[in-house]
Amino acid sequence: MNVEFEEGLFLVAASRFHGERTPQAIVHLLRGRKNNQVIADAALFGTSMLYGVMQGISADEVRNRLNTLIERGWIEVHPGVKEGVCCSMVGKEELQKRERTFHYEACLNAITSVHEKVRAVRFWKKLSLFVQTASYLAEGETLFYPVIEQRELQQEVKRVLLDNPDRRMLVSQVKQEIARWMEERNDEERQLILRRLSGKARAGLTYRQLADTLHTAEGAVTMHIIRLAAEQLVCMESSSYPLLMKLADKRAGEAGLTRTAQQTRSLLNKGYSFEQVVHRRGLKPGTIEDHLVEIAIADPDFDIQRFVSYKKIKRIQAVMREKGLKKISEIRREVGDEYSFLEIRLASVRALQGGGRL
Amino acid sequence: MIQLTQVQEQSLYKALTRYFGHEEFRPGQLDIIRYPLLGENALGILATGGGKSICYQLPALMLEGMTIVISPLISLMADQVRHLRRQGIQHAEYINSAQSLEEQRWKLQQVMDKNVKILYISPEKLQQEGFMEQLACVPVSLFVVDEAHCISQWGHDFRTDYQRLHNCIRKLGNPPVLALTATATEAVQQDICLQLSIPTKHIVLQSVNRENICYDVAFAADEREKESILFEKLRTLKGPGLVYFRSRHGAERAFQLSQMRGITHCAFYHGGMMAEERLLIQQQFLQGELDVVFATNAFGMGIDKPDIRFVLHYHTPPDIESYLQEVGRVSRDGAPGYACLLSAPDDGFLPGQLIAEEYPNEKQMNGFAAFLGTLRGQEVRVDKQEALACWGLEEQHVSILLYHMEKMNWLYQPHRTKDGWVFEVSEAFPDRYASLVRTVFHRRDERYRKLEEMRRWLTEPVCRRETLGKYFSQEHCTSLASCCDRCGIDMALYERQMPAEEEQLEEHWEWRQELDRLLPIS
Repeated sequence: MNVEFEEGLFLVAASRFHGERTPQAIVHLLRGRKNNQVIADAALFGTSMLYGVMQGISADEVRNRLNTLIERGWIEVHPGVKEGVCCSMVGKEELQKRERTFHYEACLNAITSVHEKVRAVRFWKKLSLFVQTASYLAEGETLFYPVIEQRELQQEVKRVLLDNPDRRMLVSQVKQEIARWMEERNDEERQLILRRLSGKARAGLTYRQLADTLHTAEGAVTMHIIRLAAEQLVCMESSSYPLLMKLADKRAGEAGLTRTAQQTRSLLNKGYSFEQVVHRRGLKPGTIEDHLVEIAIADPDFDIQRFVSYKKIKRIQAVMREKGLKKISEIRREVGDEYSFLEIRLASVRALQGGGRL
Repeated sequence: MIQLTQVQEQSLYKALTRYFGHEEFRPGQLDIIRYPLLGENALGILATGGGKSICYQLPALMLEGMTIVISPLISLMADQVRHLRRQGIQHAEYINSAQSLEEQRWKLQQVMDKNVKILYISPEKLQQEGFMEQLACVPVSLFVVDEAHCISQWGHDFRTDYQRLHNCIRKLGNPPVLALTATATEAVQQDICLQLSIPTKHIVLQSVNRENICYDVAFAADEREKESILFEKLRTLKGPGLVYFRSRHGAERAFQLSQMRGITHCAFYHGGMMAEERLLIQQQFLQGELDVVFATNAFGMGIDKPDIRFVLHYHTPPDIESYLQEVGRVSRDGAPGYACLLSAPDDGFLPGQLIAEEYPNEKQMNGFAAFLGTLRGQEVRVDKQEALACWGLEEQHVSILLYHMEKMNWLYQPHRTKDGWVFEVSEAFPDRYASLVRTVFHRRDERYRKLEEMRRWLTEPVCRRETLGKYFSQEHCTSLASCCDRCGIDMALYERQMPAEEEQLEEHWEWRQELDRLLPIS
């Protein structure tokens, strides 16, 4: 079961890359390589959900598993200056079979950037700790083994608790909000969420135990919980979940940006131009360009029109849509040299975020 | 014997109640605690499950300044700290090299700000000079060496980093030292005292006989019979219980078999699982949701579950010390408990192989030594990755080699860096390495000998409790309930009244009920 699920991950990635990336890009994606290009690609191809799912496995091992599928003929590698990886016809059929069991598409579509994934995971972890705490508080107890041990997350949860000194209110409110969330979900989804949570009366199930209970794969369980957290985050923006909302990170703040990109961003916020930032930071223009792309991915509200005109954005996005292009160089061949690489990169980031804010 | 004043003793009892909720000390505890409170070095030997931790945790909370605890296993450290916090003792922390640098820095800052009362450290962390220098700025009132047998070559779990502890103690201004172990033969005791400057009259030796544990051995003709014995035991024994395996695969496989047999309320546990998942299994076991855990020895060290009623061993442990340590988790509350080792004629292979893997082979040793031979008189840095790539040497292999080379004056001042080691190669580094190979193999053979002793215990037709006692130069004859299979066992004591029900259908799951259970509102 697990092998099947995992093969599906490779197939999804290959099918999304569709000849526009090398096989090694799949390895980088699945292992969650901390690299701006990998993160930007994940956003570009809508594969951010897959980022880092094979974190614990060595690069060689991941490559070996990928090669097995290439040898089997499920994944094809097109030769060229740069090899392009894609799903073969047989691979597509296999993927469809697995899609019916594991529903990768729903997971991939729930998340548009690595930052969103991080935000969903952090929300879920804080919620788990919060519910556990509330469960003990409901019985008047404050000492227990916390399910989340990251200090930073513990402190954030603690802050929410301290803001709500009336414990009875707190417990009933969190219960109400979770109940409302669950009403919107089907029974399998409810099991994923509720049985994973720990409380005083019982500890939560491990992913493996959840998978056994629901007759699916461990990896699928993990991924769907992140999906549910991500979808809930979106849902909470328009409807009222006052308490749960406090457990969500502010959308695309400084969190998730590399320190150096944060510095670039703060100079931009002070009103410095691109050239001034390059000068003040003493970095290459290319590096600052990478920062801009990183910021645009992390923050859908980041105003890219300072760097690329509205007209150009529209044209780039139209080309991407109509010709199905994703490679920056191919887009540039289409639109012409008066479009810089930076302009195309920024516009393509926004294209994938559904236009974003222009 | 050193005596506390009456006032001191009273405040000791008060603290015992306040922090740990106990009214009385268990045998040996008070005798051990006296020494650190009066600033004296001591060695305490208490059976596993005899309440070793309190022997240093209590003085640590009463003394001014900070207590440092050296502990060999990261998982054990984490368990201990979790456990203390669970009791409301928040000022406990642990630092080891597996944590991110940022995390370590934050914790060290807490230490410098004197927010930490009990600090657990892995021994290899203490070998890093920068870390040691900073630590030396903080007043240390007690230095605890947990699992102190690791310091001795004659122990079953010798760790080279433990050997350099006396230097660390000196750098910390010679605070009183408390060494603790559950398993030390006489030779090991002497070694510990010598290395940590503990007067031999400060040894507090409590009998390691666990009177309430019954020792059984079940012989099977082959693997298949062993499996069926295992499942028969699981069907009849009163839980909760643990089944130990020497391999992760073994634990997972037994779990799968039990699933196929429809046995519910069981789980597997090993070090290859993610930390969060391991924590959940521990919790389920502690909260009584699981009857059986199939585990490697990564499970149970720091778990304080007093009512584990049986421990089964599916594989033979590599030595008697390990066996006692793992069996010691049975019935810490003093009620009768049952231990059984399942033995088949051909299962000597695995422990022997595991021992062999702990030591470098001849080719690896020669390769590594030849490399150093080209660097005489130079300072050398060896990276963990490099050692693995060039000579196939694991971290523990390099540690062993450096340790012996230092002893033979082939190199000087080896210490740890973030990703490896740095040391100076002697001008007199030899051209031939036979003596190194001989020494390392001697150590390995020593371990084989211990394995042999374990096997002999299995087959000798005499009282098992008595033999265990003799091994530690003690006389063990009293038992609370049944003694052992040689003396005769009344199995009714350990079996449940009603045999396990065959699989029960899970009732219909209803989300509102689940939510009510999670967040009950009265």
